[in-house]
Amino acid sequence: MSGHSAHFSRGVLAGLVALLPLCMLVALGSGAVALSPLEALGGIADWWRGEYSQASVIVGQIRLPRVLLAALVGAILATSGAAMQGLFRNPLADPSLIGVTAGASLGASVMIVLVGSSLQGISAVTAVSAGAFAGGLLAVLLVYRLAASDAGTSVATMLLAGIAISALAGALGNLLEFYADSEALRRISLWQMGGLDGADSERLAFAAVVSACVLGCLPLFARRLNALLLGESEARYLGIDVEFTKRTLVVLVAIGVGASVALAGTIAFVGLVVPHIMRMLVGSDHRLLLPGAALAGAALLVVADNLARVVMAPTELPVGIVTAIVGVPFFISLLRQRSHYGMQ
Amino acid sequence: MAVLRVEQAGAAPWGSPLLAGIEVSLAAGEILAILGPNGAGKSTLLHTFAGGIAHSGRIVLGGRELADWPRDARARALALLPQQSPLNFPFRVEEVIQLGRTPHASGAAVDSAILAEVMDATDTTRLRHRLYTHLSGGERQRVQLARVLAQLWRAEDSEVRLLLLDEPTGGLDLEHQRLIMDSLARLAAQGCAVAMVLHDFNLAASRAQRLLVLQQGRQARLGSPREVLTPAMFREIFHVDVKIGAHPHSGAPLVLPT
Repeated sequence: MSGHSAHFSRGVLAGLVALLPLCMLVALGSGAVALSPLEALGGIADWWRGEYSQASVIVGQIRLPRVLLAALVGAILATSGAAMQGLFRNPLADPSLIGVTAGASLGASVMIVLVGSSLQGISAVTAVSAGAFAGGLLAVLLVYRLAASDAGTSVATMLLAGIAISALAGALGNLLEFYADSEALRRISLWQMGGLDGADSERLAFAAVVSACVLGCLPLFARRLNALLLGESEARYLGIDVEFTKRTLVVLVAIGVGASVALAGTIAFVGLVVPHIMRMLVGSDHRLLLPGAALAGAALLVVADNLARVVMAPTELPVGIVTAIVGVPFFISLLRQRSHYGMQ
Repeated sequence: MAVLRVEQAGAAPWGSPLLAGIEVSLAAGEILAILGPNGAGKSTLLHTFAGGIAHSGRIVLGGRELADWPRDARARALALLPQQSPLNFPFRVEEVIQLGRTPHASGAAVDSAILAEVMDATDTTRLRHRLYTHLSGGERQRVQLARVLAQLWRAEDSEVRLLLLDEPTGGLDLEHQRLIMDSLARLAAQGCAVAMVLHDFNLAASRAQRLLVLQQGRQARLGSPREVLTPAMFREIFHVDVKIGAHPHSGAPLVLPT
């Protein structure tokens, strides 16, 4: 049963801490040129010292940015999902619920149609990412304005507003696709499936800054999220500044998810299901759940991206397809023991 | 000094006034029962006392206006057991109870000692590793009670302590009703003031020093059980005829429906 002891929960976390570097090492070694874990480590060491070797170029310049980006994006998505489920007290909540994903998708589509054909390479990718980030933040701002009133922010209204804004953004996106030429259409649909193939040091640096902010701040709200699960007024009677907590969490998640959509497209499933998997393993206490979700989300996306690269090489699968194919069976097997899970 | 002093308080959370002209004060160690027909404003009154609903008039907690209390200090001085809790995530029972220690920075050792005591006071010790969502209604009620007890358990955590309970015995069997009421009496004996909404007049008469009867948001009666529980009051406010007897042992008023 999931009435786990704190001992077991800590064991799971420790296991994940060990598992993540292992996944990353395997991912660094696999690809067109296969490297053993030792060779991969040697490649990193060479690259770090600035020495030139085949391994150092492959690992340091191509695979390492991508693997790190996958880990950061996975961690952001899963942690954001856990925080949203707690904030909305709703097991179905995921980061896309507050409109950020749909808004970002629309922003990216607009950029692809507007500038995609005139710009090439890096600048096109950057423009699309900027569009996605702006679109995501704009959508969340709108949702938040709709839900805010003098009496505070209604979480239920925010949920409904998120659905409405998502539907609107989706409709506008469809309209755009209706008028787009087939080249733009293909790029939009590829982008929407998600992918980490654009990883480079600049994007990695951007992801690192956003992760430091989001992954650094969200765990500070763990106790407040625990109290919020009792209900908003109960949390208030426990001394929690509920309005500040809601506002900050929504902003943090918007920044994190907006950035991750900008960097890697929409990657479904990680934000919704990883928090559930971790809740079954470590329990509902956000002090353990948030770090656990970050580690598990990172590991899942590293593994999924690795599979996306190698399964049909040299063709790359969109990583969103792989996260679903890898994660869903695992989740279903856990759901079969749902009587022990206790989520209502 | 009164723990709670309420002067001409009213509240209108949705525009039209739900409460008006509330005038009551509570001393340390006193137990007040709040009674009234459905929709009379009993829960609203508790939430108003707790600062969860904007109010007119004055509500003074421990000599300081309710609104002037820092958030954390108020949470150490005042706890409220809601009628229902929306908690639907799979927390373990002991985790739920420990949430009551959120406003305190008393350390893990103190908190786990308090956890053991409040679980004992609510008979939840054997539930401690169960999932809250797997419990029955009465068990959940006891766990939530343990949580608010943990919030106010220690006298040294706050100079004034006020416990507000919305139907603490709802869904409890007779044995647990008695256990909870004994635990509340012990807490009150250590200086914590208690105000609770009850529907059982005989329980209120035997356990509370004073009764407050609400009728359509107004304070209709306030006084000792003997003063308040009269056939005239029942006719006027509850529209029923009753006989008032006396408890064979304690002598407290005994309400007998006719």
